[in-house]
Amino acid sequence: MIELKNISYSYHKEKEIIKDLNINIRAGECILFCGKSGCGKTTIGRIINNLIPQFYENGYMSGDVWIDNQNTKNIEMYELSKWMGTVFQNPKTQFFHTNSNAEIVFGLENSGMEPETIRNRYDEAIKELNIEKLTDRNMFSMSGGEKQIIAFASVYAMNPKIYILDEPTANIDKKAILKIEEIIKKLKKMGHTVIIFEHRLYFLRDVVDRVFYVEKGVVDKEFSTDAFFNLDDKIRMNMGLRSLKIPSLKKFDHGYRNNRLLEIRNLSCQYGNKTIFKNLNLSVNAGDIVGIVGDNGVGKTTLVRCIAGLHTESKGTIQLDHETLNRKKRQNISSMVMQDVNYQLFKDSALEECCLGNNCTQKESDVVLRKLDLNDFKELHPMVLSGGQKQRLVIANAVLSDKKILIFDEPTSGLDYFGMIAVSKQLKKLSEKGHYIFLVSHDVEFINEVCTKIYELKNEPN
Amino acid sequence: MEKNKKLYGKDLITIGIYTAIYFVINFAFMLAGMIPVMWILMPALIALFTGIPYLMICLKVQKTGAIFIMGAITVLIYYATGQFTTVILVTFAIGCILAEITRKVLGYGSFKGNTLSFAFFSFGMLGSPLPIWLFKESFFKHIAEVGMPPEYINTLNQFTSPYVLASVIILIPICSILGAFFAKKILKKRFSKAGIL
Amino acid sequence: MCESKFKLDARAGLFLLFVLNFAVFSVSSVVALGLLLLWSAIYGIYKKYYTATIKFALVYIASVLANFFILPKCPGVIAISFAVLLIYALKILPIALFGYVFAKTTTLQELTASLRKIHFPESIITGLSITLRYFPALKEDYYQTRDAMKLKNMSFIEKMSGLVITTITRASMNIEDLSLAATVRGIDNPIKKSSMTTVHIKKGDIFVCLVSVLYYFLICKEF
Repeated sequence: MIELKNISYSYHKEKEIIKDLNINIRAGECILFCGKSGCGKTTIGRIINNLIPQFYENGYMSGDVWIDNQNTKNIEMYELSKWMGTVFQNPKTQFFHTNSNAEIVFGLENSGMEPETIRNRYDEAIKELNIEKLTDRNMFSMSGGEKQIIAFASVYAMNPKIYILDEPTANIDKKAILKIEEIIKKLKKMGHTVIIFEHRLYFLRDVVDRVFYVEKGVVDKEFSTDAFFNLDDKIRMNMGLRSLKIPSLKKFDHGYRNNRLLEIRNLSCQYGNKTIFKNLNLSVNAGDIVGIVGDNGVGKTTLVRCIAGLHTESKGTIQLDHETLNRKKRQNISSMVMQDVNYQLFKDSALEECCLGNNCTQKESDVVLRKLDLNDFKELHPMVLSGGQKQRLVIANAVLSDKKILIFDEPTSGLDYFGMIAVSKQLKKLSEKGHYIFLVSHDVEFINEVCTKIYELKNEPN
Repeated sequence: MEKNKKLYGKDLITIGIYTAIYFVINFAFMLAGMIPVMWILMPALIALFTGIPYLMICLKVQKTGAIFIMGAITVLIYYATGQFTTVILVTFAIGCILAEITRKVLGYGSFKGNTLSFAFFSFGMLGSPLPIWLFKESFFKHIAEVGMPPEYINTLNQFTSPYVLASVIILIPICSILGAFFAKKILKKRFSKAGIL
Repeated sequence: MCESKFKLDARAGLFLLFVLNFAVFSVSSVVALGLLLLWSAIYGIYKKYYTATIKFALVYIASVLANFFILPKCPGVIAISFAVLLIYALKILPIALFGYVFAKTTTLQELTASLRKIHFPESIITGLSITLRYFPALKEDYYQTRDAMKLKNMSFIEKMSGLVITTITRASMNIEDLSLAATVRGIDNPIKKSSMTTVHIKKGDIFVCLVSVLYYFLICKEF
């Protein structure tokens, strides 16, 4: 059904990203492409759905993609959209309308379908995916996971035979991942072909038929599902892959014991009249890496924003070494690495960025940049750096500003195993230097790897 | 190259997003227009501060119609929420058409052409304070109706003299050119290394 | 909102806004403008936007009072400049109230469907949808950026240039991602796009339009 023949691709003439790729996918199969970051799997996805070369016109591609014995080279994107649908990784930037209903039928309206047919398709999508409670909602009021499910619904409504899923779970929580697993199962049952490009693997155990491991632009190994999901942990890690089993939180003890203490006492936070949490107590020693866990919407973000002095507490105190810190003081000693670091890069070179807001000397900044492997990039614009480099740049600034409290919001979303380990190492180094580190994450494997203690926020029945 | 003249989804999305940014700045000055002098200066001030989104559209969508769509979106939003008058509708239409012609004649890639087209486009907002001059009579009637002393009529006469209008009209292109240069400088300095220009 | 209630068609609404615009600028007496506002207020009350209607009415009354009692006591230049602004406000209020209620009660889908029916250029409809979708995104972006700035010791200039940088950076990324997502769902299909929402002009729309136009006409004639 899908055939890739002798595909090679490069952005620049010298460096090939995809080398002589030959793949055959049968109708109704569910295929997983995995591999380290930068191995070329995203590119493969874009070649299959024809975005390369139709949308990205600047690269060099040779070879052909055949779908149902038609060469896609001569097919316009909008024609292809009738039999192939794609869900992308970032839920925030792939919806077109503000209203979820309009979003679900976006593709159908584009194809000029009769209103009556659109309504039927819409009803069917809602019923089949069981998402009544997501209808007629403002997209901006939804969680990342809910947005992603709407993205699925929008593609589902177009009723394509082939689904391309480009890291659909990179930015979402546990509950939404389960829902997506359920949707993929349903698609498979209906006989659709599903091709998934993912870092997060465990939820695909009961879903996929074959697994392609991509390395350096070629399919390095092909696995049957059984063989793949029973890979030895050591081998799996060496391949740079994330956990193959549903990871569960390990048991944590009390973390570090020393006399330098950050104490949160009876803390309550509200948004307007709505209580987010109340009477929260937590003490953290210098060097602790505290994982803040809990379901979506229990107030993890509010808690860390309050610690950083970005949200005013309605009650309670936060003390450092027995001195109560007001909001302004907390802002001065806190730094946050946001999930999307693009919000916090304000300068036009990496060097300026890490010196922003502190009077560090050339020598100091050089030392920190070197330690964070950024020395070669210090003249570059932050925007051209990779996600990991951007993250480290924000850390560099925090270290140079001598911030005691460091907060990380989902620092591993969309990272492979090596990427995750690299972030863990960074965090552990910061822990050794005596920072108070807070971590909000859905990534259980990462929490197990790096945290010294965890705090679970629960919904309080009011 | 027939194919490339058409506006594609990506072009429209580019226009839509930068128009949103333009609109927010525009709206901020619209609110500032509550202060009388600011109102008259508003079209010029908007021109001074909206160079970046305008130039980004010119840069990214070098095709006919981009600016017209930008103007149409602005007008539609204001119009459907009732904050716009028919006068603005007319000035905007004229401004956008002249801007499109300028871009076509002087070349879509030319900074000079884009700057000049920006000046025309900025005249669209002149429609906001323009009723002061267009409906002068109605203001006189009103002054009489509320019973202000007759010598105030003189002040109103000065206020609505053609000289004031003329200076506003001169100020708009000056501010547009300044705004475009300002925008170009910032974009060059901040983004030339970022690979998005 | 109550479904069985009469709902003004988006085309009728845009048409009335247009006519109202002319009416407002052809009268200047406070009474006439008040009557025009009254008509918009009836629309607002019918649609149960009580608070908004009352607010607009109060602003109107306050403006009138200021016009009659405060301004004549002020020195010339101030009085005149504010008088011009106030009379402009009085003129805008009936339109703004109508527009407010209209915008609140008409979904973007209905507006889009209506515009498609009158063969409005699709490129403008697409652009408009994106602009409206991007406002809340800009707001989210702004709050995130502001948070990040609070944790850094930045001067005002640094903050302003930082805001420009993050805004343009985010815009470029959003354009890229949105374009991909829209392209694979067929945005470039040259066929005439359709709408799930169906709209049609009802007898009631024509009736409301006729009565309103007549009302506007009479006011213009009388004053």
